[in-house]
Amino acid sequence: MENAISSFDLEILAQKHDVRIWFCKKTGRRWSFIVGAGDQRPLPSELIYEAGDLGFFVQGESFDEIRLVDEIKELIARKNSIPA
Amino acid sequence: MHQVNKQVSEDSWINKVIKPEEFEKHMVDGKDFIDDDQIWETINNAEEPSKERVREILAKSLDIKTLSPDELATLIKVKDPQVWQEMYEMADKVKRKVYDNRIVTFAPLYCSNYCVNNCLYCGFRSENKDEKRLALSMEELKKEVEVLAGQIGHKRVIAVYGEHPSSDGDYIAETIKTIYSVSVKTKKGHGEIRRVNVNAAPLCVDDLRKLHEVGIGTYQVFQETYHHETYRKLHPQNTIKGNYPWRLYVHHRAYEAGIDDVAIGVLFGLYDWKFEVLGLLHHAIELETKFGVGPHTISFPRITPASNSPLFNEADHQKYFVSDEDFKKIVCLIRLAVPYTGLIITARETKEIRDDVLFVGCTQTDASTVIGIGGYSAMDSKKQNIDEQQFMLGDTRTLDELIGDLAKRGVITSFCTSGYRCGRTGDQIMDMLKSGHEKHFCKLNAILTYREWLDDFASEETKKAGEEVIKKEIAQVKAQTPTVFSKKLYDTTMAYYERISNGERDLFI
Repeated sequence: MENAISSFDLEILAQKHDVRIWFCKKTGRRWSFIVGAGDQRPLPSELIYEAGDLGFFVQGESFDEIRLVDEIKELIARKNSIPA
Repeated sequence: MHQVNKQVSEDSWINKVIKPEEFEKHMVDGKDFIDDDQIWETINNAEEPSKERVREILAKSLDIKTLSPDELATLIKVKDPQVWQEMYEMADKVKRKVYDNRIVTFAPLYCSNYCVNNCLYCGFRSENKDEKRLALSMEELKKEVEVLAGQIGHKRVIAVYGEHPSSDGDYIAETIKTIYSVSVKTKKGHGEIRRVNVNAAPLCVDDLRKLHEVGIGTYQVFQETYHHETYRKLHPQNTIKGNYPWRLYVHHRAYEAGIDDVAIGVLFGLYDWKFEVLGLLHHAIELETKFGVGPHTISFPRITPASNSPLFNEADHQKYFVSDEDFKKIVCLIRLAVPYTGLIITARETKEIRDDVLFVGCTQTDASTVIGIGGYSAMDSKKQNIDEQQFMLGDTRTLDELIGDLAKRGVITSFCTSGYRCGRTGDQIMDMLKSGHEKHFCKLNAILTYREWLDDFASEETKKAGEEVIKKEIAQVKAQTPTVFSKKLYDTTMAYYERISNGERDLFI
């Protein structure tokens, strides 16, 4: 999964929700950056969705978190359905 | 102490450590990326620049662009003290543009001093029979961390190991997990180590993956000297460390293993400092070019007398020892050449040198430093014993004393470890450092972690000075809201600040 999500996938979410979004992998206490999209902003970094050792962080002034999380889940499901 | 397995033959272990296929693939026509002749040519071809030329190069640094070797060599040739003064001021300005005004602190945590190598300048070398050899057991390590995190108040350590079968990748991974596992009750909250950086021998990709999996912070390996002939002379060829490319390409292996925070450094005083500064720049450029991510930090320890070190008796070698004046130039030049990177000055240096050089671009320093194995829990932090440590310290100030001294100069100390816990690593952190975004987070997280430390560990005197600093920092942030800091960011920070004041811990932006 960590290699399946591209900056293009995240760019769509970033533009739609007007956020910066980035995808990370957790090892111990560390969240390592994998890929991201959207402009850097001086806003708090919020971990909005975790699936196992993978997570999505977002910076946004105001965004619909529930809807964004649903779309992240859809993205993951779509990627999981693609045969390796 | 940790039991060293005598059954493992050191010789058979040594023969298996180096994996040529893991570095040869990065070399071009069998050559590494440090071309000694080319570096000397760059230095020799550079001429003393005009003020205008210097200012052009400084403008590039301030734009957070890595300098070219030619540009760095040009700055090395500056002779006019007034121009150097301008360069020192610019180095501080560059640092503030990338990291704001905060200084991050850490503690070295020596875990093992068994070593199979025999480096001529090092107290840990295998032929130094005066050195007491020790390796911490996990229980002993916990006691060290209880003092560091529960009494002194450190939040980040750099764990240090000799190169030996008893401190292999598995041992290092176990120590990282153990350090992270300790939590100690403090006056108002709890103390813990939130970032474990590692200074260890060059490992293979499989072992580096083990460190990645347990959440290593930064993996730090110094080349010591980039000059091939000097490297050969100081590191006997029948030792692991004698293999120059195995060491030089360890950061490449770290990236391959998933570790995207690596640190480089030179032990100044082994060879001509001008060559070494160029070597560091070539290394940074190599990492940026190959992986898109340069070094997270650069260190520049300066050699100090080590126990029974033959190097100090060689008159011929003493020409390479670095004067205080040149040391300040070195730090300034590295800041200007690799403007995005963190710079670490350690307690090897005296208080006077640190107080001066911190402000030509340094971002991190250590305090309450003990470099003997098991020294923190032995509670003899001011006592030094040459037979129990790798080198002698120049500054034995406690963390409380250092923070108090910095506060009196209006400088905030930061215990921030937030970046690597919210994915500000790798490409992302590089972009943020270069674009100037990271400094906003540096400033806010400095305020939050400083509040924690003042409440949990500060003496009355330091707390008094610290309260003034924190008041000033918060006022600055407020004044820059919403122009620099968004209202949401300010409100979140102040809400966290309130919660931390009430005893909650580890809230970060």
